Amino acid sequence: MTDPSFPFEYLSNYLIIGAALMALGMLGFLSRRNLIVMFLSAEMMLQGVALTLVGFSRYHGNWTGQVFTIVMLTVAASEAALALALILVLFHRIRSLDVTLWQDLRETGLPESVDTSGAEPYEPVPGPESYPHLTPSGVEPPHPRQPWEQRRG
Amino acid sequence: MIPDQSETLSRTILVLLPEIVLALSAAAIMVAGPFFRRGRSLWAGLSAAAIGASLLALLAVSGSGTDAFAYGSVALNDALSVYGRFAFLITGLILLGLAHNQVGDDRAAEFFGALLFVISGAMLVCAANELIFLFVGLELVSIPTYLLLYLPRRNRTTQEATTKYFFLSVFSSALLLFGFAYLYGLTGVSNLKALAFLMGGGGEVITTGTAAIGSIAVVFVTAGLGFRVAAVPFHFYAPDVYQGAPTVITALLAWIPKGIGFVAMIRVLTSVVSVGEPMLSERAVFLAWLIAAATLILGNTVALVQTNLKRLFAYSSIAHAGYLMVGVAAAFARVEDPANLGPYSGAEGIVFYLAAYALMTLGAFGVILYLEGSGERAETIDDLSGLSRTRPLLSLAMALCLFSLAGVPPLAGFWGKFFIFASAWTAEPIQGIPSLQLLAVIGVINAAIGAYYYLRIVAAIYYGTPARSPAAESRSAAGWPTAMAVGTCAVLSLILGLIPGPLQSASRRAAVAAIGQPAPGTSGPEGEDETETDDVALVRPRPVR
Repeated sequence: MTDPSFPFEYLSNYLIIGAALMALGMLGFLSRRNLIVMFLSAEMMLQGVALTLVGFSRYHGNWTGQVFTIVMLTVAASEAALALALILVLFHRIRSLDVTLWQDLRETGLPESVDTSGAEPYEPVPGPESYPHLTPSGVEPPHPRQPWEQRRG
Repeated sequence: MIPDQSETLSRTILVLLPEIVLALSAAAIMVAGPFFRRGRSLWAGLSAAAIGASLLALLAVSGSGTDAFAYGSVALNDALSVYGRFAFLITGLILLGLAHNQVGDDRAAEFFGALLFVISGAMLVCAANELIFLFVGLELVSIPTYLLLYLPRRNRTTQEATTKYFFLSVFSSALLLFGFAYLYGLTGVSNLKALAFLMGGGGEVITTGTAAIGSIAVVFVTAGLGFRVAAVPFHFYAPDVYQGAPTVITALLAWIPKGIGFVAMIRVLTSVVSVGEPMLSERAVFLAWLIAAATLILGNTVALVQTNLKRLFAYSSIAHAGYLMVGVAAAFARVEDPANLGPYSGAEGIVFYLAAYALMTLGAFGVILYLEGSGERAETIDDLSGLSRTRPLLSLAMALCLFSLAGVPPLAGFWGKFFIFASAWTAEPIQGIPSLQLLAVIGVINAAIGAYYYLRIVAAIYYGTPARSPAAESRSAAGWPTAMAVGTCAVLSLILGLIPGPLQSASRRAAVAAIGQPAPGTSGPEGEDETETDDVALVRPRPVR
């Protein structure tokens, strides 16, 4: 059940690396302004968790930690799919990935909490947003697709 | 006798029948959506039928106990599980009533499918008896919530709100997982009942050094769940997201993540830590003490200056997270004998408060939705002024919900606050940290501050002058499901306030079940086998130094 070839001294190395990955990811998430880099930082936090889990799993000599890691990676993958879709939509709206450009919702009367002067310049593109689309073929879908009329900016 | 694996598995699937019904219906609705040219009422009706079927399944399985399998199965069917799942199904029906006309026809199938997934995820959290399973339940709530936030309306503010919620939710999941990893590392088991058993000295796991690992686990799990329940210092997303989201999703966000966050805290933290080493439990009480006091004070004072209704309810929901954290602080306090709880326990107060909170919050948001549905503006407090002249019944429902939120007797919200403060007041004092009685006093003072901004809305409704003449109004009515949902919330808030007995005894049973440690194998089908705690011994780890 327990593994004498894997003492606590070995485990602590894994824990330190896991915690370091977690901390670096947290730092990146809080300091970066690019939406994709922010998401990658969050993924790095998850890698730190995975290393910690696998280390504990080896130390205790059971499989639970590894099963946990697999489940966690599965959930993270589905979150990544949603994240990329969301980031794509945001990019098509303002043609920029800078997160500081999204500060419309805040307390009334307060200034923007992060200075946007250093943000990538963005110019609202006139006209409706454009999305990549496939040429329709086969039967017409039941719900007629409403054209996207919302303006950028 | 160790219950054998296949029997444990079949019993687990049996007690998870309500969730399976709900998730399968959700998947079927989402798959069928693109192929049928039907309006949203069909999908709403199907969802209501699915919730009804799930309710029947829950009633059918509610008798089958899982005590004999508690140390081996991933899901429990104890009193807390049945209570929570019942509450989430009922509030799911209420939310469905509020949401039935809030989304376009072409996106209705995905919307209602996601709503059903959220409810089934919340029910999984209530039933979970395993770290991995609990995490999956929490994510089954989070991921469809992103869809729900984005689907009904696609303008710039909704996109901003979705982005903020999404990124912070991913961040909080990572914190939560880090805490779970250390909780698992502490003992090497991920079954929550076995974890509590080992922490309670069952396996000599806790040596002096591991209080540090336990503290890491408690801090990170509290942080991860603190985002879900919007407790200070993880509250800052709440006002923005509540304001930017469609109103019905704001109602959902105000209730479901908070509900599952606190149920998860009872399952993972308080039931495990309070029976463990005294030093760890003291640190946990102190952490919860600080969070509760900060949340209460910040939520209530900032709410005083709000004029936007949704922002006001956001800060009010932060304040309510503070009251519930008072209960968590009381529940963290060391329990010597899990079989014998004191007269007032923190978990009992939390569970009661959550049910009352669900009704009053959903009712208040329902009134706003009803007004929006009938074409009136309901964005600021001024928009509501003089509402009683034009809509007396709706104003009465709003007043009942607001009085209940303020904690005015004899409404459900009063009893929730009463049980929580009583549990904090009667908790044993601990050396070296501020006493819980002081926290109860802070809570009572904050309840008085909170009453001000709720009563301000009531005063505007009853004594304000209407902004426009009643004759000029269209006076159209919103759909009957919305009206019925609002009515149910208001009436239940009143009834549970007048007759709190049944709900209180149910929450008492839930609290006892959450902390109880069933004797392994003794209540199994055979019952005669009295061998030692074999299934725990199987997973008994070696201590972490």
